[in-house]
Order: sequence, then C-alpha cells, then structure tokens
Amino acid sequence: MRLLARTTVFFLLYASVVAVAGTFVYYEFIRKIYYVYVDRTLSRRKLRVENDLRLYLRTPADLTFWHQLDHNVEFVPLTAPGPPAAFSVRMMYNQLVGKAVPYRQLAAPVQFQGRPYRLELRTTMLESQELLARIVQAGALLFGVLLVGLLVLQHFLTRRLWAPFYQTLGELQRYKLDQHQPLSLAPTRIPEFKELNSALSRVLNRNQRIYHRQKEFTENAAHELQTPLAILRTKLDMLVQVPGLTEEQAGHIEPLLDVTQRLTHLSRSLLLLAHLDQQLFFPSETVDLAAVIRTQLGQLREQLEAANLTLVAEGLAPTLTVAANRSLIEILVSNLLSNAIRHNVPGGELRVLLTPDELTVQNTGRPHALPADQLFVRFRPGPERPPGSVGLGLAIARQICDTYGFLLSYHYDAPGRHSMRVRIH
Amino acid sequence: MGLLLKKSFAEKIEPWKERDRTRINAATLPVLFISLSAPGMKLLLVEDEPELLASVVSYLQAQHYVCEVATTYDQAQEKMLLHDYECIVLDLTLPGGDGLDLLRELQRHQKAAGVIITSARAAVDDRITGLELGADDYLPKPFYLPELSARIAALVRRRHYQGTNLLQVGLLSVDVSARRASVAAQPLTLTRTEFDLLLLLLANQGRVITKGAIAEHLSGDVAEQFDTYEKVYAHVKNLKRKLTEAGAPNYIRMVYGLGYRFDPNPAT
Repeated sequence: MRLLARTTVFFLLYASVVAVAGTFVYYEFIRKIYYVYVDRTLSRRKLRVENDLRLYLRTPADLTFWHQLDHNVEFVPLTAPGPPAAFSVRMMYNQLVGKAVPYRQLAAPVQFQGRPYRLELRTTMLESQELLARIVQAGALLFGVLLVGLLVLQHFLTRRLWAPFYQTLGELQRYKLDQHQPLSLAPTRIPEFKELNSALSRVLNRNQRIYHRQKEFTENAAHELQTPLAILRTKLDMLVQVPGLTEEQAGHIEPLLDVTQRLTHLSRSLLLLAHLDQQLFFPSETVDLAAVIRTQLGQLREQLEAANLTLVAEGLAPTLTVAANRSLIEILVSNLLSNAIRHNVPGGELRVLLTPDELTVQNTGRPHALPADQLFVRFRPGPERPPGSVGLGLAIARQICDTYGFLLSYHYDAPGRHSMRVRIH
Repeated sequence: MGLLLKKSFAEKIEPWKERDRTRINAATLPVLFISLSAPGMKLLLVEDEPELLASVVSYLQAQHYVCEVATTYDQAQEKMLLHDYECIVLDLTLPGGDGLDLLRELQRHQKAAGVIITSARAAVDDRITGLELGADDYLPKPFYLPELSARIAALVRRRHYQGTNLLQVGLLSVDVSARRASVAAQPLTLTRTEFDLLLLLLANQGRVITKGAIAEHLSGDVAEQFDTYEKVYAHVKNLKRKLTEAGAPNYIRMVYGLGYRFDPNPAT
C-alpha cells in the first residue's frame, strides 16, 4: 500500500471512530444543555407558581381549575410533606398528537393554605427532541463535510508536499552506479526533503566516485602492464634470435614465452572488462552471428581435433544478424566455444545450436552440475578451472551479454552435459 | 665506416651496455642511420620507452630498414614534418602530447607516410579515431616483433606496389595482392591461413618467430588463447608439406620448440 493510501486509511479509521463516538457525545452534550435550559425554565415557573399560590389562589378548586386550563401544572394533595424538588422524565398522553410523549417534570413540595401539596410542572419534550435530532443531524452533516474536505485537502496537499519525495524516488530507481553524470535531485523548499536529497547525493556521488576510481584503477593497472609486457615480449623476441642458442637455453625461454602470453591475455581481458564496465563506446554494426560462429569454429578446428571432440552444429546455415560490435560478438562466441572445449572430456562432444532467439553451446563434461552462481564470477577459483585459463572468459561473456541485453545462463541439461545459453532477443 | 657507426649505435641503443640509463639521444641518431649502407625503407619509430624502442630498432634494423627514432612529441613532430618516411610506427601516449594530434598534423600537412599505431591504450574509440585520422594500421601493445615487421612489410607493399606485388625468395614466388604462391612456376594451393602464415614467415626471413606470435597472427588478438599450439603446429605442418611436395627446399625450420624460422638459403 502506498504511503499516501496508508495515511488516508489511518485518517479514515480515526475519522469514523471520532464520527461515531463524537455523534453520541455530541448528542448527549446537546441534550444535557437542553435539559439544563428546560430545568431552569421549570424552576422559574415553580417560583412563579409559588408566588401565585401565595397571592392569587384561594381554594383547592382553584388548583384543579388551573390544572384544567394548563395540563402542565398539577397539584397533588399530600398527607405528609413530600420529598424535596426533583426533575424526572415521564411519558404522558398528549391530546394534540394523540399519543404518549415524553415530558420533563419538576416535582416540588409546596404549601397551600397550610397543607402540603406536590406541585408537578411539566413541559413536553416532543419538539425539543426533534430539535435535538435536527441539531445532531446538522452537526453530523457539518462533520461529514469537514471530513470529506479534509480528505480531499489531504490528498492534494500530500500529493503536492510529497512530490519532491516521489521525484527523488524516481531518480533513485533510474540511478545506476556506473552512470557517468552525477545524480541530480530536484530542489525543494521542505527542509526534510532537502536534507534527504543532500544526504542521498552525498552518499551516491561518493559511491559513484569510489566505483569509478576502482574501475579506473583496474584500467590503469591493466594499462600500465602493457608497456612492461611489450618490453618483455620484444626482449624475448630478440632473445630467441641470438645465434648459437642452445636447447637448454631454449627450454628456459619457452615457459617465459608462455607466461608472457598468459599475462598479456590476462591484462587484455582485464582492460576489456574495465571498458565494458565503464560502458565505453563500442560502435555497433550489423553482425551475422551465424557467420561469426562458423568462422570461430573454423579457427578452433585444430583444438577440436587435438581433444578428439565431435562437433555437432545446427542452425548455422541461415544468417542471423544482431546489431552489436563485431569484436565483442567475436569475443563472446570465442569465449563460449573455448570454454566448451576446455571443460570437455577427451572424445566428448561439442554441440552448437543456433535458433533465431537463442544460441546454445553444449559440451560433455563432469557428471555433476556446476554452481551456476559462481560460473560468471571474475577469477573464479576452484577445481573446475583448468590450467592455462585465466578465469575471466565467462565473466567477459556475461558482461558482453549484459551490454547488449542478451541473457547468458548455465544449464545442466543431462548427466554430464553442460550448456551455456544466450537469449538474443 | 658503416660497421663502426653501427657498433657505436648499438652501444647507444642497448641500455644494458650503458651504465647511465639516459634516454636515447634521438637527435644524433638519424645521421647514424642514414649513413648506414643498407638499402632500405626509412622508418620513423615514435616511442618513449627506451627499452622497447631498443628492441624494435634492433629487430627492424636487421630487417634492413633504416630506423629513425623520436621519443617525445616535439621530436616526432619535427621529424615527421621535415622528412619523408615510408612508415611511421606511432605510440599514442608520448611525453609532451597525444599521438593522435601528430596524426592530425600529418593530415594537415598532407604528408604521405604510412602510419601504424602501437598503443597500450586499448580503447576502441582510440583505434577508430586513429584509423579515421589516416593511420593505416593499429597494433595494440604488447605486440610481437615479427608481427610488427609483417605489418610494416604489408603497409609498404600496399603503398608501393599496386597491382603487381611479387615476392621472390629462392624457388618460391608469392603474388601478395592476388594471394597466390608458386614454387618454380608450380602453383601452390594454400588456404587463407596458410597464406597468412607464409606472409608472416616471409616478412621475417631468417628470424625465429615464436609460436605465440604465429598463433596471434593467425587468430587475431580477440581470440581466446589456448596454452596449446595445435593450430600453429597443424598449419605449419601443412604449409611445409605443400612446399616440399612442390619441390621447394626445407625453408621452414622449427627452433627448439620455441618457434619457426624461414631460412631463404637452407643448408640442405
């Protein structure tokens, strides 16, 4: 549930509780006030009646006559002095509406001509109850309007007030660590968002700087290796030209040549990875993937023969074009094929299957599945790594696939059959 | 005289013989080289790393090229504008400037030198910019000397012999542009790879070409390298077989498992 929806729900919950409870409380409150008012009126009338009793009324017949004129005034003769004055609500038949309606009654002890009476003063609550209902209705309506208004206001206000937050969120969702331009967050006047944005900018730009520094470091390190390697290579090239080179000396030079070769391959791979990570510009062209695979398979023919591998290739006849950098596609294909040859078993099989959507390179190999999550790790350690491999081939393949939105995955198809699949589209 | 000068050059250029490891005094070198009697193409090698420069000069000189060197941007600029070179081997990162600017300079002055860029900067756009600015080839560092020699040879051939481009070595004659080879008028049927291999060998006659250099020449630097050299062995074997079947002497010799040498005058 979104933040705004969540606050609205809580707001509504609170509002409905307050509305329900509030209506009762409000009703009770208004009723109390009204009763106080009615009771005061009744008390004043009682004073007047007591006054009248003293000054104008002579006989008990007068009292009965009064009651006949005004039903809301009644004198009940008592034998003993009655209880003190008390208010009560009672139901009584009303002639005007023809049914029993509630009355507020003040019962007070009075003396008339030395004899105790109970004076009952009444006023009907019929209209006042309607009035009360109307007042409560009006109150509820007011409350409702207030609630709806508040909801609408809150909705628009929060939408406006939280706009910088959602902008920042959007920026963060689009943010990539390897992007080159620093994060730009929209300016805002709200201090909290200002602080949030500045904190985020600080953290992210710092991360980005560290990331780029690391990438630069890799690139520079690999780069700085090239010149010493070039010297090493050319010196070795000169060394093998020396006249009178003995077999023993040659035996010492050969491993040096191999190691230099490996170092060169390693530093080139690192450079390529650094460039792929930095998303350096690799010009795109239309590349026939099938043709690239055919060429690379041709290049590897001797390697296949040496390992006594059977090649099964399908779907390489029609052209299958992708828009990509030719060198990168060649490296991708070369790495996948070399990998399948390196990890093969003598007398095994290399299957290359190309469909319009997918390239599958399958090889026979160890009779157990490989840990898929570790295969594409740079400098993958472990017993799976054959000698001579620098452990970057698959990492590079994955990075190239990422560059072009291809999906590279490992599958253990059948016992002893491993495959790498590239989803092209 | 030539020999004497050559010797003094060697002392200058080979720093392991030099106590004080100063940079090669490039300003004095051209005179020495020009006075060498070897009839060769004049090259300018622009490279700031003295050890690397020493190897390159020494190797190419033995290939009968006349080498001049420049170790800074300014030297290179001065030389390439003052003199005409057959080929300039240009490093991009130089003290005092960017090699790509030298290419722009060459273009502006319409100097018709072939340029091979050798750079440790492997960025793709450098390569593209370089080629767009009129460089003929791009050889990333670290490179093999036989490869550099082959590239220079190919460049020189391209620039000089349009149409007919015939190499004659002993009984072997190679038409580079038509990609045909024959032994004593008997045509050889060589595959693309075998022909490339033959060109590499011919560009480095009498020199040992290591297996790694051959492998890289045949596969290109994008290919994943194997520690085994099956490919090299297979292609050299096939080429040797085809040459001997056509009646050529045993031109290609293996040197202690290190690599191969094309000997234009085999003893037997």
